[in-house]
Amino acid sequence: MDVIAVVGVLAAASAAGYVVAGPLRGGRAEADDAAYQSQLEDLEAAKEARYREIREAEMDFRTGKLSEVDYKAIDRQLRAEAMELLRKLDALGASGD
Amino acid sequence: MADLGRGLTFLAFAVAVYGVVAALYGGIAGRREWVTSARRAVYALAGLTTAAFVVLELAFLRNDFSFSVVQSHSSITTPFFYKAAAAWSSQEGSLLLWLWLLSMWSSLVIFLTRNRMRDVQPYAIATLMGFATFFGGLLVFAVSPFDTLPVTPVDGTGLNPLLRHPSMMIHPPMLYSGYTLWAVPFAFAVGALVVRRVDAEWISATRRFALGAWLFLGVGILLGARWSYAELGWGGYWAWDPVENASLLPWLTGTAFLHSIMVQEKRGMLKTWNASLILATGTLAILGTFLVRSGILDSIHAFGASTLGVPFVVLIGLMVAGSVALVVSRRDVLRSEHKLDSLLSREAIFLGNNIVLVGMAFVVFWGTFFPLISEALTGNKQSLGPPWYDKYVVPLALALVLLSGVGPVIAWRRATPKNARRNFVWPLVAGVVTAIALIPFGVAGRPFALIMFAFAAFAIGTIVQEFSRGVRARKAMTGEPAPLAFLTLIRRNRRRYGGYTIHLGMAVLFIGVAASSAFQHVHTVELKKGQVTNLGRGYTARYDGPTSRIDVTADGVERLVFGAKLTVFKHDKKLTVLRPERGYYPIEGAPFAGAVGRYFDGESTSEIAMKAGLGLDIWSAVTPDLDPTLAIVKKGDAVFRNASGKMDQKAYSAALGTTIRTLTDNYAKSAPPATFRLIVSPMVTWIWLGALVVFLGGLICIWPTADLAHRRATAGYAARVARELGRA
Repeated sequence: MDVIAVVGVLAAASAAGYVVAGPLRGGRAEADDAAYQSQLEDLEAAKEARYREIREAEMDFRTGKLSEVDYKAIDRQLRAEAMELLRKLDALGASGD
Repeated sequence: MADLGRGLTFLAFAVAVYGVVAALYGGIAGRREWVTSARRAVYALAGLTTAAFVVLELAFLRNDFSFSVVQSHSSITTPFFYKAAAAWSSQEGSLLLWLWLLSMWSSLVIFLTRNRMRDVQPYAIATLMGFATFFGGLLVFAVSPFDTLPVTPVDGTGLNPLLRHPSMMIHPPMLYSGYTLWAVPFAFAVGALVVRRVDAEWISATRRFALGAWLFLGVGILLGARWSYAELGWGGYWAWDPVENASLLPWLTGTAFLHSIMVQEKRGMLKTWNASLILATGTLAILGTFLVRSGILDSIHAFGASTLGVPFVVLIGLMVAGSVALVVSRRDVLRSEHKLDSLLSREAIFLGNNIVLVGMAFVVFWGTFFPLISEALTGNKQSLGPPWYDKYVVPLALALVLLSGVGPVIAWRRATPKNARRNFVWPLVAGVVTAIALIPFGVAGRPFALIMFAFAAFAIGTIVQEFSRGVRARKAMTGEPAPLAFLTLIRRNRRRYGGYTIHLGMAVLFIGVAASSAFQHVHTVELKKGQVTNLGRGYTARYDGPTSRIDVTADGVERLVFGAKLTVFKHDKKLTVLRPERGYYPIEGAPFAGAVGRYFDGESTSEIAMKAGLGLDIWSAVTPDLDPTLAIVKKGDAVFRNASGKMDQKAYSAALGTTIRTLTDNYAKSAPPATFRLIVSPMVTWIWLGALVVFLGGLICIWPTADLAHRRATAGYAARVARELGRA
């Protein structure tokens, strides 16, 4: 093994070791409230999905794929679902602007 | 330098193993610092594999023939452009490319999702690093690109001439990007299943990676098709070759996945199906990688027999068993939140499209592995050819094009028959008029092609109608002029209109496939100088005579080129001149080859000539009759064998150069007959244009939008919903 290779591999190993071991040097990290986080993310994802659906339904209506009656019923239902999700997000203490 | 490469590869392997262990320990024990450390291991892996890849590239560019892989895949005369690409023309180099791309994509997704899905991340990281461990292990213990030769040769054997084509520079990185990107949604699906979080969050976190995988794999497949058409000398773009099929399989199931995840995101349905689809797609991506390098199936694209089969089979077995176990054990949380409201709904059409795509994937899978199945059952290895594939794939492709037209005009949840009728009128008219208009041109004799043209016209009709109605709606809402309304419409609804653009491109592409396969005229003929042959469709070609030349680089003769000049006429009016050629590459590192013969004994490639147009391509390849020349070559070998040692090197080289020059000049002067493969193929250009439109649509879909995930709000829910919707 030539000198350049030895120095290069040692330098790479040191750099990788330093980067990877960084988080372990600070001791035990505060544990995530995993259940809270995942509930929050789920609600946010569901909220965004409802928003997307509302926009899609409006586009479907405007491009003639949905009748007005169907559109209004779907829009009402989706908005109610979105509101319910916002209530749950607030209850979780995630919101506030 | 080889030692440095070996050391870096070993470090990459060690970091990957550490990443798996740290991520799993952090996930199971709830120790966040270990998960963070595992995440950093992914970044470190990317750094190490990048450095290793740079070492390999430098070896190729510096003609370092002490590297075994450089000696066997490059040479001094290999053009610089192809030296850079030669790294992935080898088994070992391509494995390193695979690992490097995997580490880069893994780093990107882990960075982008660092604050999301913290419970899923440890298992996703462990899965990604598991793949890295596997490929790193192969590079360390099985096939290292950093192996060296005991004695450094003066020159290498050169890059396979067939691979000296611009698309081959980017075809493998595109395919491998596709394969490695599929590992991302696969890994997150595994993580989501492990922690039982199978809502749409893992889909939304990795959707762009799935789209990227689909896009890269698609570009890779198309570049391969283009290479086949322009380089292989048989005139086709798809041969149902096992390796071609292997790349198509994950693309088909991935296409199904990209449609069905929309149903899960919107309706909370098809969770089991989506999880199964992405697990299957990830597994098929590994299967594709395996097929290229296992040697179990014969293919022009494969690396040939190797010892990598067993480790890959073990990995694929683990992936299949693990996927089945995960899906079965999580079936309680994978239940759908809603039921299908109506068969006349977009989700029902998506389901139909998924069945067709998975059906196609099954046909391709069966056809690809039939030689192995038949050998296991009967002892005889039997292959299934294009007619078998066409029998099943053509009807499925027709259904797919029809559904791609129906889907965009059907609403989610439920569409009323009245609205559906209204939406179908003009596209149906477009389809029927197209079919009727084509009958007088003899298209009725090819019913599948006629149906494809009609269905494609219908699909294009629905998409044009959708764009036009969308623009009208936007104009009515905002008063924007039409061009601005068109652009804003796409910008604000990228997924929808990007998807429609993809459908448009696919319809155009399928028109090209149907026309070029149903109405192609293939003609193989031997012509003497001055002879004319009929190509069909009113075209004729005259063999004006042979051509020859010597291509040289700064380092010597790259190849001898023997070709032909063909004048093509349409109804006796000169249309174009074609100059197909065949290049003969000197054989390197073969002491048995004669001094003159070595210029003829190496690989040879066909350099096709064609006139391509929107209407049709006139394609030509030539096989020159070199028998008279080769008789002289033999005599030349004998003369130079006797002269060896009796002449000084300079005089010997000058005499050899003069001999080669005289041989090539004499070929052109003697005007021997030549065998031509001549093809008149309609609308092939539509395939490439359609593909460009597809990729444009993919880019529209993949383009980032503002992050809406973490909006904050308080009260006044109805107003907030309206406000937030208005902002989006």
